[in-house]
Amino acid sequence: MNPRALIAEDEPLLAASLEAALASAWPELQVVAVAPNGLEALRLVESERPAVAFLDIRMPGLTGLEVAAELADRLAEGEPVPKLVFVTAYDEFALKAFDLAAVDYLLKPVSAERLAKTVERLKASLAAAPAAGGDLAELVRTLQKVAGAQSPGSLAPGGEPLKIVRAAVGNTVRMVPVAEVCYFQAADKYTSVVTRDAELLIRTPLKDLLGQLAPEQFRQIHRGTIVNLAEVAAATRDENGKLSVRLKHRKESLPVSRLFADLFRPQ
Amino acid sequence: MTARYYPGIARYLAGTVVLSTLIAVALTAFGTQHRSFGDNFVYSQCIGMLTYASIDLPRRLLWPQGVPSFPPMLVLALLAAPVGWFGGSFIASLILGYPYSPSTLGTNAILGFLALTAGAGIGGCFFFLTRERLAESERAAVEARLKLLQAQVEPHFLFNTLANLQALIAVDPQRAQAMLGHLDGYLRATLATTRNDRETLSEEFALLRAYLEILAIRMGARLAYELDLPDALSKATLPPMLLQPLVENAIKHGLEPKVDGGWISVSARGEGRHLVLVVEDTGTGRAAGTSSSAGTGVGLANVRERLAAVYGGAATVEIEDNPGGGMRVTLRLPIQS
Repeated sequence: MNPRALIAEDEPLLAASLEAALASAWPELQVVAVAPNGLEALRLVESERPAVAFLDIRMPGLTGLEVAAELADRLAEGEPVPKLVFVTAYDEFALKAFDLAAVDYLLKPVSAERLAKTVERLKASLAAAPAAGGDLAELVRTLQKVAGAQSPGSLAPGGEPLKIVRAAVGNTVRMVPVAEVCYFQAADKYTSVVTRDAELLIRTPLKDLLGQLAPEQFRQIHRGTIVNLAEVAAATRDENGKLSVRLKHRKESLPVSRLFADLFRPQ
Repeated sequence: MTARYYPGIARYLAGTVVLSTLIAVALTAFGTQHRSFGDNFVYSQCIGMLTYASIDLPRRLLWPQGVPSFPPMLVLALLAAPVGWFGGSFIASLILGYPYSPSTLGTNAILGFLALTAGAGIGGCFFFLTRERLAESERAAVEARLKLLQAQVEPHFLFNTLANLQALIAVDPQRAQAMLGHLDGYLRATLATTRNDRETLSEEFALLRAYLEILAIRMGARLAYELDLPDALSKATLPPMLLQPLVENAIKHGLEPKVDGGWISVSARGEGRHLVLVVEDTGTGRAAGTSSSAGTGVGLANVRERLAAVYGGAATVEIEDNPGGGMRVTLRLPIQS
């Protein structure tokens, strides 16, 4: 059976041109889906199960890296994992991270020689593991390396950790000490600040918050969640192998992404 | 080589020689010691050099990169004066073969010479600081312009545009040519802004059209745009590329991240003696992405600073959430042509 591929690229001309370039560099490869944004890309990877996915980094909805992280969570152990090739015009930090993590990527405009090399590598690794495509643990490890190289998970240089969160509630501004926050949750355009007895909204995006919080106390455990480690009671794994944490003072439990599961490994 | 490692040292030495010579001339003409000009010259140069060295060496050690503020320099000059005067006169005495006996001068004369040395040192420091500050602000101005240029030809924009050109050349050479024309126009206009202080509204709108045309080709159906410049205003002038950062923000932080894309409009109208410029979009709006730190904040801060620098308080910037989602930025500035 011919290998199947997905292309995720928000600029239609670039998607078409990559498809054309692949048609000549790898005639047997069958491009089964073209996704115009990250959310579509995720949906199509799940429904089409391609062996290879070319993911643009900057896409609306989810970035290419977010699609990969989300995939790492949604796939069950033993399921086939598509080989990922990231595509970017210029993303300084991502490129550095890719080099460190030895991730394959293509630079736009894509040159025929570089694409030929990538195709060679993909063919070789597909031949080594024809059915499975890739290995989930390997994908998680690679993404952890990329994430680690992209943001050291520490405070912004020279920054004092945030002590008080200011959240507007109608005409008043509530001052919430960060120690009282159980977790932060990305909520559409806002970030939800959840304390023992209240949920407030702030405008600071989650990824900006991460650079302002003391890493000893606050950790990202999912794409959309930063938890106060002091508020975590326990971490449990369900029958599907999915990890989640229970909180000391809240009833809901929070899912933990595979990328961050190492935080809750027993000593 | 030396000059490269110790910037300015040759100039400061020359300055010290000139100042010391002036002091020697003044002492010969008006001094009470009745020494020859030759003697005064040697004394003055020795004291001057040693004073300069006692100020500049510690200064370079304590502030290797930059320029200290005036108070620490003042302290340095006051400390350097006795070192320079006692040490310098000793060296001069050796050179001239005179006995070294400052005590014979009397306390008042010694205090007078120390005051003169300190005064010359402080004057020199003041001159040095003013000159360095000036150089610093010139550097900052050049840097600001370079940053502006860099921001406008953002690598992500450039390489994605080139990738689109590459794609079009194969399938639609005519559109590729049109896109190349827009890119050429945009780059030329951007380069021109590093040289000119003013441009006309029609030039700014031409640049925006080139920029938005490129993005419309790239984003396809996800981007619609509208430019509205009444003929009567086309000759009005404004600082170059004032609107471009606002449009770029709207695209980058408002429309590009939005799955369905959206619409952007830039319009100009006259209101009495004011020019009103509005950049409006239906993007993700202020809350998403970059409310304070990156992106929107930097672009807007840049526009605010430039307006304040050019118009003082006569220009205003207003930011609102668009009722239909997205943002609206309104600039109001005095009409000039």
